[in-house]
Amino acid sequence: MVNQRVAEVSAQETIRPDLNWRQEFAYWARRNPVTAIGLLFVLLLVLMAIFAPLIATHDPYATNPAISNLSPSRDHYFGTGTFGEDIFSRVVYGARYDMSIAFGAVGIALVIGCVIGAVAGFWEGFLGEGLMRIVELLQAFPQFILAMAIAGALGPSFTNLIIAIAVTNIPIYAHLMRVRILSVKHTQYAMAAAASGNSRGRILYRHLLPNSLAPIFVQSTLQPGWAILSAAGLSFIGLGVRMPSPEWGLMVATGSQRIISGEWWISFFPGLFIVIAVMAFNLIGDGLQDLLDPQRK
Amino acid sequence: MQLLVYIAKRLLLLVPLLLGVTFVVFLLTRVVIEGNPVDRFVPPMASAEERERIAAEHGLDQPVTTQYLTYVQNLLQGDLGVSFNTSRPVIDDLARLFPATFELTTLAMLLGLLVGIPLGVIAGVKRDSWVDHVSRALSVAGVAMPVFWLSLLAIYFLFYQWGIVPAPIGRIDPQMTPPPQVTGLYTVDSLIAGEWETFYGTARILFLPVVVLAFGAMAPIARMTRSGMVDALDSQYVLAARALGIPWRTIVLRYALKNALLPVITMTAVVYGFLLGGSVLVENIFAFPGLGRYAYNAISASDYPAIQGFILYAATMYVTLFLITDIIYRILDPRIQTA
Repeated sequence: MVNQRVAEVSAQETIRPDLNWRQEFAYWARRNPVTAIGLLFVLLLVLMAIFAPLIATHDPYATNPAISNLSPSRDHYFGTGTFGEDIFSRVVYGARYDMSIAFGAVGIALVIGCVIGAVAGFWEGFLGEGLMRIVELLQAFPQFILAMAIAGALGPSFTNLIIAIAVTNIPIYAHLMRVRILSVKHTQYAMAAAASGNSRGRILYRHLLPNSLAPIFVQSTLQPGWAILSAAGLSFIGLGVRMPSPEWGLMVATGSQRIISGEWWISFFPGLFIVIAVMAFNLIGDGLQDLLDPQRK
Repeated sequence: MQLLVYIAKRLLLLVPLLLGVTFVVFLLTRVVIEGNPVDRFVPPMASAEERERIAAEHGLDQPVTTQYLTYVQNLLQGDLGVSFNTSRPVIDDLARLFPATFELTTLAMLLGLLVGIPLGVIAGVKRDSWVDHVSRALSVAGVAMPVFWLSLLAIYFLFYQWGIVPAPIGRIDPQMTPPPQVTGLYTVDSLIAGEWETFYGTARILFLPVVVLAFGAMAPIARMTRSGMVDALDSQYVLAARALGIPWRTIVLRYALKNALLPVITMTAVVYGFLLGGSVLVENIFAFPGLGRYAYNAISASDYPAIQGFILYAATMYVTLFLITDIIYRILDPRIQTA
C-alpha cells in the first residue's frame, strides 16, 4: 500500500511539466498550504526584524512618564507601558532578539550536536559511547530547568541566553545524527567511497554528513519554536535579556503586574508575537514532516 | 522474575546517572559561574583575611576535585547547604514546599491526560472530522502559547473581567486554615479530614494554575495519542479483527487503544519535566508557595545553594519518572520482555 502510494507520488512528479521556479514554488505551496503559511510568517517576522527602524513608529527605548499606560490608539497601536514606552515599536524591535535567539541557538546546537552524533555513530566503541553518555547526562534534566541552571550560572545576558538554549538542544541533534550515521555508514555509496581510497574522516565529512543533514533538519523543525519559548521564559524570570532591551518574554514580564489593574496590552501584544513566531516555526515543521513521511496523516 | 532483574538493573544504572547529575550541577554552580565563587558568600566590603576565612569555611580554597568529593559526601548525608534567603537548610525548604508543587503539577498532569487522551482517540478514530480539526488546533495552540502569557490572559479574563475565580494568590483561601497535614496535599488532606469547605477553598484557587499548566500538557499528549491511534487502526491486526467481525467499539477501545497508549506512557515523563519547568513560571505569577517560586526567588537573589537544591530535585524527579514509565512500559508491552 505504501509502495503504491510512493509510486503514485513519483508518477505525479515525473509527468509534471517544466516550470520556472516561481511556478514551481506556487505549485509546491498549493500542495503544502500549512508549510507555506508557516514559511510566510517566519519570513514576515525576519523582514520585521531587519526593517524594524522603518516599521516602528517610535523610538523603542524612549520613555515618557506623561503618557504611561495608555490603551491602544492611533498614536500607539499597541498602547504604551509603565514608563510611557511605545509597545508597538518595542514589539517590532523585539523580533530582532527573538529571531536571532531562534536561529542562533538552533544553529549552534545543530552544528555541535551533529558533530557529536556523527562522531559517536561513526566511531562506535569507547569514543562514541563516552560522548553519548555525556549527552544523556544533559537529558537527565528537564529541558527548561537545565537552561535555567546554565543561564543562572553564566549570568543573565543575550549571549548567555543563546548558549543556554543551544546546550539544551544539543542532545536531540546528537541522537538524530548518530542514528542516521549508523544507518548510512554501511550503505553502498559509503563502501564505494572507502573502496576508492577515501580516508575514514573524509568519508564521514564528504559523503555521509551531507547525506544526513537534510532529514535531520526536517526531524528537528520543532526546535526553533521551542527555543523562542524557553528564551522568553528565561527572560520572564530574569535570566535572559535584561531591561530595557525589547525582548518579547521580558516585555510580557514587565506588564505582568499590570494585568490585575486592567492594563492588558502591555503583556498581551508581545506574548501574541511569541505565539505567532512559535506557531509559524511549528507549522513549517509539521508540513515538512508530512511531506517526508506520507504515512503520517 | 525477568521484570525484577530489569528493575534491579535500571536502579543500579540510576547510581552513575545521578552521580553524573550532581557533577553537572556542581560544575554549573561552582565552576562555570560568573565571577569568583567566593563572592557569592562574602559581603562586598569584606577584608582580605575575612574573604580567606569564609572561603576556607566553605572549602573554596581546596582543589576542585576535593570540593566535589566533599560536595557529594554532604549530599549523601542530605546536606544541601543553607539557603541565603531563608537561612534554613535547603533540604528542609525543599521538603516543606514539595507537596504544594507536587499537587499542582500532578493535578495538571492528570487533567492533561484526562482531556488529551480522549481527544486524541476521537481525533484518530474520526480522522478529518471537526473533532480532529479542533484537537489539532488546540494542540498547535497549546504547544505555541508561552505558559506565563496564558496565565496572565487567564487571570485577566477569569479574575479581573469576570471575577469567577478568586484572587490568584496562594494555595488556599486566605481566610481559611490549611487542613490537618497527612499528605501535605491540601485537596487530599481536606477530603481526609472531611472538611468540604476547605476543599472548595483550595480547589477554587488551584483551578486556574492547574488548567493553565494542563493546557500545555494536553497538547503533546493528544497529538501522540492521535498518531498512535492512527497507526493502530491502519495495522494488520485491526484489519484481521474487523474481518473476524469483532464490533468496531471493541476493536477501538480494547485492541487499538492499548497500542496507541504505549508511546504516551513514555511521553508522560517528558511532559512532567515540562510541567516542572512550567511550575517556576506559573507559581511565580500565581504567588503560589511552592518549589517553583522558591527557585525563582533563589534566582533573583543569587541564592545558589537553593538554586542547586531545586535543580537537583527536578533532575532526580525527572530521572525517577523516566524509570517508572519505562517499567510500566515494559510490563504493558510483552514484546520487549523477550528481547
